[in-house]
Amino acid sequence: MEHTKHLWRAFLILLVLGVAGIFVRHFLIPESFGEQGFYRYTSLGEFKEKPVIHGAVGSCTSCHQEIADTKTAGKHASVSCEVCHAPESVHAAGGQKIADMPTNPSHTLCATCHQFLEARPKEFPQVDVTQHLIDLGVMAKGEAIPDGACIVCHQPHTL
Amino acid sequence: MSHALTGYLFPNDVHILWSLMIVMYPYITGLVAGAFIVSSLYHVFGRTELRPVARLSMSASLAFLLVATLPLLFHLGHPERSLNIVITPHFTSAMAAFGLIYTLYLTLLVLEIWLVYRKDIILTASRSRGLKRWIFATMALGVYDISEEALRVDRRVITVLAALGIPAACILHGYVGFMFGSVKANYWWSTPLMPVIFLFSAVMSGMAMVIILYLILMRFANRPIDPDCVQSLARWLWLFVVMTVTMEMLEIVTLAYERNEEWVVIAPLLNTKLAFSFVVVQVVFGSLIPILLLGIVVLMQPFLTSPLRNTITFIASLILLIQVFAMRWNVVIGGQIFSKSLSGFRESYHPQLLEKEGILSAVLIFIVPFVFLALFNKFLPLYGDAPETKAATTEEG
Ligand code: HEC
Ligand code: HEC
Ligand code: HEC
Ligand code: HEC
Repeated sequence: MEHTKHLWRAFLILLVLGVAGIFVRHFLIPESFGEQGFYRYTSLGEFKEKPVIHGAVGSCTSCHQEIADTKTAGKHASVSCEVCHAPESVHAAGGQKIADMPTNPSHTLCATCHQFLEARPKEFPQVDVTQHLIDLGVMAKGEAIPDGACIVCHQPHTL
Repeated sequence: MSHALTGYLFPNDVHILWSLMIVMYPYITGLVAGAFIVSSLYHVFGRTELRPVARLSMSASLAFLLVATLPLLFHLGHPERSLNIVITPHFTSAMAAFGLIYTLYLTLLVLEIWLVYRKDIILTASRSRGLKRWIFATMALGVYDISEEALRVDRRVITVLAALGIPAACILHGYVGFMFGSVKANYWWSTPLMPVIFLFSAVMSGMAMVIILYLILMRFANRPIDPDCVQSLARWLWLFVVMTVTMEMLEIVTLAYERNEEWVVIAPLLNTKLAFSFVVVQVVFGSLIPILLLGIVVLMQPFLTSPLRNTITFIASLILLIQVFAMRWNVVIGGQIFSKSLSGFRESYHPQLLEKEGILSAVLIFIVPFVFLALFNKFLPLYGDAPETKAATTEEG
């Protein structure tokens, strides 16, 4: 056909782009992708190489039997130590204490689970943190929440 | 007081994860699809009175298409990973299809615009010197053939591309509605009507945008406004507003009448959390007023002067742009305010001015297409009426 030269050129450019795209894609697909499924198979090995951070439930018990027992008898029985403190790996390894375990005495720790939210199940114990402290006379309205505000009255282990 | 997320609740009951950016995304793709449909009314369905906006609507569609992915990039972060979904798409995922649909549609649109402007490109190339000439010659792919024969072939190809573009544009936007309509855990989203509503309101917003752009462009370029063109757009727009609003209301009426278990959250959702953005903005202000205004323009045409009709159409179009935005907001945000286990509501969502997915980002993203259009207009006119272009590419119908 006459007078269609420009269309053929455009078509050629698209064709080249398309083929180049397929070619480039071939090199961009990560190695081992799709070998065992729709993911990069070697990533499993990479995950296995990562150091273990959290201990299992009860990993603190071997050295802190007493606290574990009191906690298990109380309301926080189902709450793991590592949630309120820090992962085991920062503190103990190979049956030895290796560094201090952080402790968070701030009310923000408790508020994570106990601040009143409409979306929380109704039967879960929750308070509006500021209002709770005002109701109990711990602070006046508009004041900043003092450090360690909750653990003055509630002992997290022996609840 | 910040509420962290661990601790005895479902994360999707607390955080609005799909933020303002996910409101922007369907809004912008809607404008893409809608503007394209306007150009197809001319190129495929031969509505010759729409000729003055045929180029504008196509270029607007491209300008918005070029920023359509920005909201997603802002939302997800990690732009360096964005191509993974294109490289290894998984076809059980509707989102993965997006890369293909987007590429296909972009190719179609660029080809069509290229053909529509080919004669202008060649004439500019032969008129200018130096770098500009070189750029335009490259854009012409080195072929300077503007014989009647060649232009006729172009017109035929344009019609085919525009015809292919209609399903492509519908898929591009219908798929966005499908994304929401297929989330079966969400009562506010999960309806087969969702893609259709998205599509119709997309056409509505695209038409409104073209009307606004056209009227402003003519004002700035100091050119006469073609009253028949605006009148025709107003008539089409009225049709689409009526159909869109009917479907939007139909959906609510069905929910209200059936009173299935989801009504427990939908009813309070509509009369508390979304009372303003749905009832006031989307329905009363955004739907009723434009239906009345456009109804006046269409039904009372003989009694009104054309400048008055243009002004009313302009106002109705502006309101409709707000309506469609409110609709996207109500769908995206509304669907995340209530608990999927029907246990209540979270506080409403208030985007911040300066956060990554905040108001400023949204405004900036929305401005970019207009900058593109202004730049485009510098090189190739968005209205085609230079004497030599008049006889050219936009002649069929
Ligand atoms: C609900 C949160 C929470 C949980 C669960 C928790 N702790 Fe604590 N723990 C705290 C807080 C808060 C303090 C600081 C108390 C204070 O300063 O009075 C603390 C203090 C401690 C101390 C410092 C010694 C002391 O008694 O003053 C040890 C040791 C300790 N916790 C061990 C544990 C172990 C072991 C477990 C798991 C069996 C555990 N904790 C579970 C919140 C928690
Ligand atoms: C290998 C034994 C061992 C294990 C396992 C262990 N601890 Fe300890 N922990 C210690 C010793 C030893 C001390 C210091 C003794 C003391 O002062 O009473 C200590 C002290 C602490 C303290 C007080 C602050 C400090 O560092 O002196 C906290 C809090 C604590 N442990 C929490 C935990 C928690 C939570 C776990 C489980 C994730 C845990 N520990 C697991 C041995 C252990
Ligand atoms: C990881 C979540 C979590 C954190 C953090 C946490 N708690 Fe709790 N708390 C619970 C759970 C779970 C219960 C048991 C709820 C039940 O019995 O249904 C509970 C129970 C309680 C109760 C008992 C309420 C009752 O019904 O008598 C009190 C008081 C309490 N927590 C205070 C605290 C304080 C103070 C802190 C901060 C030091 C804290 N909690 C931190 C999860 C948490
Ligand atoms: C002055 C002492 C005091 C302080 C400080 C205090 N509480 Fe309490 N809290 C109480 C008492 C007493 C009760 C039980 C009476 C009641 O249910 O109102 C209680 C009850 C609770 C309950 C159970 C509510 C329920 O519905 O079962 C929670 C959860 C709680 N507190 C969390 C906190 C948190 C979090 C803080 C820190 C911001 C805090 N409290 C600080 C004294 C205190």
